[in-house]
Amino acid sequence: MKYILLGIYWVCCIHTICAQDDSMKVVNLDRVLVKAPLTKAQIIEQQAIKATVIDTKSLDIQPANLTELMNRTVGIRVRQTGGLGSNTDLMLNGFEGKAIKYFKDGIPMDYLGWAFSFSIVPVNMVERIEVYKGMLPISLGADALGGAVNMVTKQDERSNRWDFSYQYGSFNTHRVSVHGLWKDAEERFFAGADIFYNYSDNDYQASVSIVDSETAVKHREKRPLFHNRFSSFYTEVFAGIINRPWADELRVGLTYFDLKRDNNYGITMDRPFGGVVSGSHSFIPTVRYRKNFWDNKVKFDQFVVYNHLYGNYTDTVQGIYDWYGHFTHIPSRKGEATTEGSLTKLKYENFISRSNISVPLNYYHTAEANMVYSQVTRTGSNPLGDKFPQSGLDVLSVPAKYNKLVVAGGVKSYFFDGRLSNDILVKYVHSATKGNEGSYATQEEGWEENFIDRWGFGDALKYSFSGNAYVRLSGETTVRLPEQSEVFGDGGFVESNFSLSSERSYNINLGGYYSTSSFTVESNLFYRRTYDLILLINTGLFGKYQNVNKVKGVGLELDAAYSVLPWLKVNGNLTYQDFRLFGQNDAAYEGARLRNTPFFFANLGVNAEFQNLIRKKDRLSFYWNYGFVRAYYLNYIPRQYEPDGFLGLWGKPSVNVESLTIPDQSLHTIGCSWWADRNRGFAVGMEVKNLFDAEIYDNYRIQNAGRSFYIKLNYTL
Amino acid sequence: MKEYIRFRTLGFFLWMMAGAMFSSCSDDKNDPVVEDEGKSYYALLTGDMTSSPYAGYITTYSEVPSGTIDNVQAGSLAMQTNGMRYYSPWVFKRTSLASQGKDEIIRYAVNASGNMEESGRITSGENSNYYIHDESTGFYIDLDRGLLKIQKFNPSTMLRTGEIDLSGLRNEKYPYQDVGTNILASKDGKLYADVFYNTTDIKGNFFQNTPLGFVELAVIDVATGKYEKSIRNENINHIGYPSNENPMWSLGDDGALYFCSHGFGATGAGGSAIVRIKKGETGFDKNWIIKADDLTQGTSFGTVCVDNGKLYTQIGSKPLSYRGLLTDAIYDYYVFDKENPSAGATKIAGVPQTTYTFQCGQSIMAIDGKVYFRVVNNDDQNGYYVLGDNNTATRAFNVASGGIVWGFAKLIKKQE
Repeated sequence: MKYILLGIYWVCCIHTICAQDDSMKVVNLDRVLVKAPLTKAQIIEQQAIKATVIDTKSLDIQPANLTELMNRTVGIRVRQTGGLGSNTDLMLNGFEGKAIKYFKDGIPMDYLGWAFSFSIVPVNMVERIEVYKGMLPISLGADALGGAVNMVTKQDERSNRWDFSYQYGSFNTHRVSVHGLWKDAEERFFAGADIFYNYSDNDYQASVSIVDSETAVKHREKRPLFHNRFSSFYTEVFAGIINRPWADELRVGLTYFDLKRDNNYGITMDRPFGGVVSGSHSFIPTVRYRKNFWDNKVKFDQFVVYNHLYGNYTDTVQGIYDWYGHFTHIPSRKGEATTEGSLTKLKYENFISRSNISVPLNYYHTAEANMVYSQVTRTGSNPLGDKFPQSGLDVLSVPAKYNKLVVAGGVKSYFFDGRLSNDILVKYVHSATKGNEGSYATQEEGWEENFIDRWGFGDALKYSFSGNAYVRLSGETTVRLPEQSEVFGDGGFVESNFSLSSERSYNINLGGYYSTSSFTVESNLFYRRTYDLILLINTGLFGKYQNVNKVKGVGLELDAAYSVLPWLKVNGNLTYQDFRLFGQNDAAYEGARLRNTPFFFANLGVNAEFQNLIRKKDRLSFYWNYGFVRAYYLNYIPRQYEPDGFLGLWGKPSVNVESLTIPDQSLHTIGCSWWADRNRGFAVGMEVKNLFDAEIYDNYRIQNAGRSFYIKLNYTL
Repeated sequence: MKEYIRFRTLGFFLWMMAGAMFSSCSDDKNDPVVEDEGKSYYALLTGDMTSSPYAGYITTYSEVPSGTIDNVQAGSLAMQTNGMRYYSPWVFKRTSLASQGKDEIIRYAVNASGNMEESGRITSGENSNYYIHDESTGFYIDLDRGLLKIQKFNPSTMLRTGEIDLSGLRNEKYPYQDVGTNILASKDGKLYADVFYNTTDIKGNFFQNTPLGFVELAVIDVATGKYEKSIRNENINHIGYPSNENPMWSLGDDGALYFCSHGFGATGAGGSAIVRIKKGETGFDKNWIIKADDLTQGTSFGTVCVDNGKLYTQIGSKPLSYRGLLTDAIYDYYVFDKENPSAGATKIAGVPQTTYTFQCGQSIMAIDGKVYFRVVNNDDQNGYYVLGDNNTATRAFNVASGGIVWGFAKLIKKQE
């Protein structure tokens, strides 16, 4: 008993030390500085858990898309394989691909496929994008090795608001979006819609190889892409009740989307396709329930979704195209991308439940718990594809199941008058996969199950020196569970591997922020040490996913903004990341940089804004943005042969990797926007992307568009 | 005078012998290099074959490397490491790191600095095989131009020069048929191209296809491009290997073509053998065969070299395992009396066991009058051994870093 009393005594002592001092003090005021309240984006950015927030509110009239906005953000690199609607991947602090998880309003986006990818969602649909590099908040339940992106849709407080936008641009690009919200006068019912439509021919000019049919020699020419159309339609209608005794909000939504893409090329632009198409569609009902209890102290949020997501990939043209669009019939072919062709149809049955609760323990500590359960069953068919060697069954026809549970819990605490905050969390991830195991390498075929359980931990500290300066430090251990295909193989030449472990990473971030009325600077140092990265390993005739690579390194981000004049602002950022292999069996590659990974990129922007220029309450802004990516390489280069400039920022490697070089990239964009009324009404934006028509390359030297023009019209009711 | 004539004759003969020794056991030349008119370089390709895109480097040396070496040096050329072919003074590959998913025939040469660099390429469509007959004549397969056509090109200019149409060979009994995808080889002015049949309407693979009980080669006159006849061997089911830089055949210094039949089937290797077409003949030597199962059941022949009356090859001490294709160090090098293979094989002494040759087309090389053996065990062996006296080999060089050895060639760069 005495130990319990002693423990309570010490807890009280600690709280006494840390609690607010309520003693009266006499203070002489020198001056009173009135500051605008922080926006939601700023609040999130200044939390202990590091987040970069792209606040799109001020940018939604610009014809810029989310991909461009993210590429201008420190520490973020978007890898895109072409124009609007092309495959897009995100690189955060050296992590990319499956290491990054995507959320929509805090819900894992797997049920949406690519329908709500940041590469196609209009800026107007999104209020902000939260990018977490490393440690995730408790509310985002995922096994994210490198970080996460949470796209937060419009969170209107003002009712009866409608936003319309239409954008037209080069390559016959049309983008339409409608966002609306209605609430009754008593604010007991609400309804709304989010609708957007994208279309583009994506027929920009690219430097491609033209082959002489007689000599088989190729030369390069600029040709327009001819089979690169993309269209997407997304609509979400919702309705619900609010402010009831039993529910703060009960929202029912129904979403439908349909994507169609013509694929003009594959991994590289070496060979054109004229008939390969792909797409996906789905109807998606959702339900969300929120309720605060005990004087709004306890918050409960439940989300449920169930849908069938359909995808297709068709490659059945018997022949080949050239870059002039001429077709040659080749009877021996069943497809363009592969000689075997493909008529793939997939169905994903998705169920996701997300439960979140936060409970204040006392004035200074709040506990939060989050649980995400997802269940995916994949079936499909491809009559032209692989069959299990023993049974002869279509590999895709056999259901594959993947269940995942992510539970996270933690406490957020404040000390020293709120100057010091701490987030501590623990995470548990569990996966259960079931599928048919069989390949050319095995003699047997049959159902197999696989289970993986892992724990992760994290802590984030932030200390504020003042309202304008703080430092923060965070560290975590995190994992990525293997995907179903990595465990089970593909039924043909990729074997199963039931001993596959999850990828593991230890990440540390140290950052600081300082601002004055005209100047803001933020820096962030990050360190990562990653083990058991999963790679597809060739064992001769077969492949098998194995835990192979180890990567470690440090990175630096710097972000600054300065108001030169009240109407003129300059901003810039740079990212340098030095991630290298370690623990290699071959000494030549010990310490080699990750291949195909940019290691230095920077942005510079100038924005001039004028008010009441053309009419009262109007706003006119001009902007110029510059982006630079330092050359990087498709192959590993031993460390001693890297470019000899400082940090590799200039110079050339002393091994010959000329054909494997993604050269320095410089991209200039200029634009202007005009709001007739700062708060509502009509607005117009114009932009010239890639002003100097530079050749811009991305993944495996896929080229992006040259100079292009866009105009965007907005109207807000 | 007579003695002078005899001396000239003897000297010429010796000269020819030297050239023949130099040129044998190289998979890519069928005529001896008569004169050494340039500077010699030894090109070594190493890299990582375990993970796509199989990145590696090729480095040149002024003499056969010795001791322990690092194969990535200043001036090394980044290259895909899944094997290579060569025809002095060039190295050739049909795939590249930068152009994944597309086939081209890429030529590399030694530049003025003594390093390899790309010196030409042609696009080869749906390509699985190519062959350099001489400096001005090469052949390749582009299935997009036709399943029964062989394309011609000039390796010196790297231009396609035409095609040989074998559509007349179409055998409607088989739903699928192509030519040249497994074997393109030549001797005595004749080109030999395999004629592949399948009982389904696709090319398939070893696991799916039903063995037909024979292999067939089309014999074509190189000079005229005219088809002469087809020949069959009914002791084997496979010949050569598609889409592999290791062609699995070689021209012996006796002027005969020696072919490996790897024997890959649904569950492993079986029925692997070495067969030949003798110099001066255009049909298989029906009385000559080396069967792998007679030595080790389930092993596979993937490399062969004939030099100075001896036939060298690689034999596993255990059956081939597909999973262990790159990792099982269970292969030893053996020598046969090439005219009396039934007398049995003698193991080359002093050579540690190695992995399967797979995509290395230079596992056994005759260079500068010596025979070299590739020895890789993913541990402490990653290089070549050289045959000495008493059928014993010693280590020539070992690669400590830069990846696994996947190609080795002697190139003579002509003086300009």
